[in-house]
Amino acid sequence: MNLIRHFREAFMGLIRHGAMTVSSASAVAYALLFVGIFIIMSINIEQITFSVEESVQIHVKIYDNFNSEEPLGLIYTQISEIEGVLDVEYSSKDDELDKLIATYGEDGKIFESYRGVGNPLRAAYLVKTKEGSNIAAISQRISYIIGIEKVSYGGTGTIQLMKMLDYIRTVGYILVIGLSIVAVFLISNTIKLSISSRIKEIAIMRTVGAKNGFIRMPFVIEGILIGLMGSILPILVATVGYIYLYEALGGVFLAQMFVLQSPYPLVYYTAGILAGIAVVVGLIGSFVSVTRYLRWQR
Amino acid sequence: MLLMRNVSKTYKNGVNALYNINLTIEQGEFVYIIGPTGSGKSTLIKLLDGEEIPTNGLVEVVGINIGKLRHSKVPMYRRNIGVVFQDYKLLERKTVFENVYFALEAIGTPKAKARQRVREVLHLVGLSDKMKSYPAELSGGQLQRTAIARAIANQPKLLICDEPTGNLDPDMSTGIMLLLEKINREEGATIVMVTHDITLVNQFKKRTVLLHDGHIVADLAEGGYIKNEPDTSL
Repeated sequence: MNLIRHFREAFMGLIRHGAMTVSSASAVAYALLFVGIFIIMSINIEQITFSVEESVQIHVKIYDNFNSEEPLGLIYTQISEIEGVLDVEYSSKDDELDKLIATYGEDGKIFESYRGVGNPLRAAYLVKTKEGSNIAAISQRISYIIGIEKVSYGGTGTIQLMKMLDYIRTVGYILVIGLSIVAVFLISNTIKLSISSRIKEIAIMRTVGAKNGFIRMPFVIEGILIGLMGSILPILVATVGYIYLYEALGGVFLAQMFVLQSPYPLVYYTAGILAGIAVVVGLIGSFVSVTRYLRWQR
Repeated sequence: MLLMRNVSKTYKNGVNALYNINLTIEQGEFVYIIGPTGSGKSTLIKLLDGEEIPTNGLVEVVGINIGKLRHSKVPMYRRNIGVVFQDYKLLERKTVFENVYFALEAIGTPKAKARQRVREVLHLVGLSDKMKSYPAELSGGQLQRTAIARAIANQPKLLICDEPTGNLDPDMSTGIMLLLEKINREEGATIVMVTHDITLVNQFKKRTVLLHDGHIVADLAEGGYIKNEPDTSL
């Protein structure tokens, strides 16, 4: 019964200060739009970064005269002992030939003639590193090991790109927090207006002994409603926009190796998080205003 | 039911409002507090309704020590008292019925019970036929009756009236006084009434406390006109 009253009062407050309501709801919308974009972006960056780092490895070619059990064991131990090395895997001359053939597809068949004793390819160690960033240093150290013919690696450019996106993401978070604080202030100002237009009512409520919670409730609901109003547009943009983008790009970004996160359930989570932030921002903004007012006097 | 012992009040800005006040009021009494502007009447009321706490001494109403009343307990304490103001403090957008109902709703009285009580008090103050009127449609006397109805709706043990007839002509004032006497009699409420209106004090003789410069300078159980004008006698 009381809840109906609180909601009625909250709606009246929203309507009474229509302009302020719209302006604070749009501030929330701006903030949440950024939040939505960054949630979707950062989840995708995380996934792509992970798969890129996974795929980057150092290819270590071994001289044929070192391609026997004892020297191979020695090389293996030395590579494994280098700091930052995650995994070392042996690839025999035949394995390397298989891979060569595979890269050329149907045309690769002509390399079949290499198979056997005359195989000109070198056996290799495939080294994975814990982080993509130290791949150059590790390659350098491996190249000093006796018996190594050539060290090569690829994909560092991609890793640099990922690092940069990661940096952008950090900047984005700071922006989001800043905008949320602005939204809190705007909501709290709207509520202040609402309080001042009902100052007489509040005074009477206090005189007759209404508890602070009772006085506070309509204003807090009003704040939450403003927050939720502000979240409608960002939720639509983030969900519909991402589903559309995913379909349009065919699930990948630029190249086949950047696989995007499937829209479901990602968009549901994003919508939930956005609505949650809207409620919290509205709650804090209104609570601060009313509590400050109610503390003002006994 | 109301006890003030050695009560002093000094405001934060250094203004001394009350000095060493000693006052006891029994359940069911009707007491006037009179005195010139700045004599401390308003401060006295603020101490009684819990808005201010005494700087020194003890203020106890219905067994509750106001000086020790925590901020969060003030609302519950206020349910024991009703306050009537000179300017009525009614909500213009609500009808007479809604204005009284609002007070009961604010303290969580169940709907049916609240509605019944509103009709009861409006009958008591003689406004049964004005329930659906808005404040703008009422006379000063009717406005004050509405305010009184609101103040007594919760059956307070103590009714504080701050210049209730201050804005009313003599006829209306007499009507309000008769109503307050009726409430004092029928509802058993203790009434503390602050007033400037010496004519009323003479007409309806009650115990009269005279404040001057923050001191109680007279406390006449028989009431009536105070012959020694404070300004000339002190």
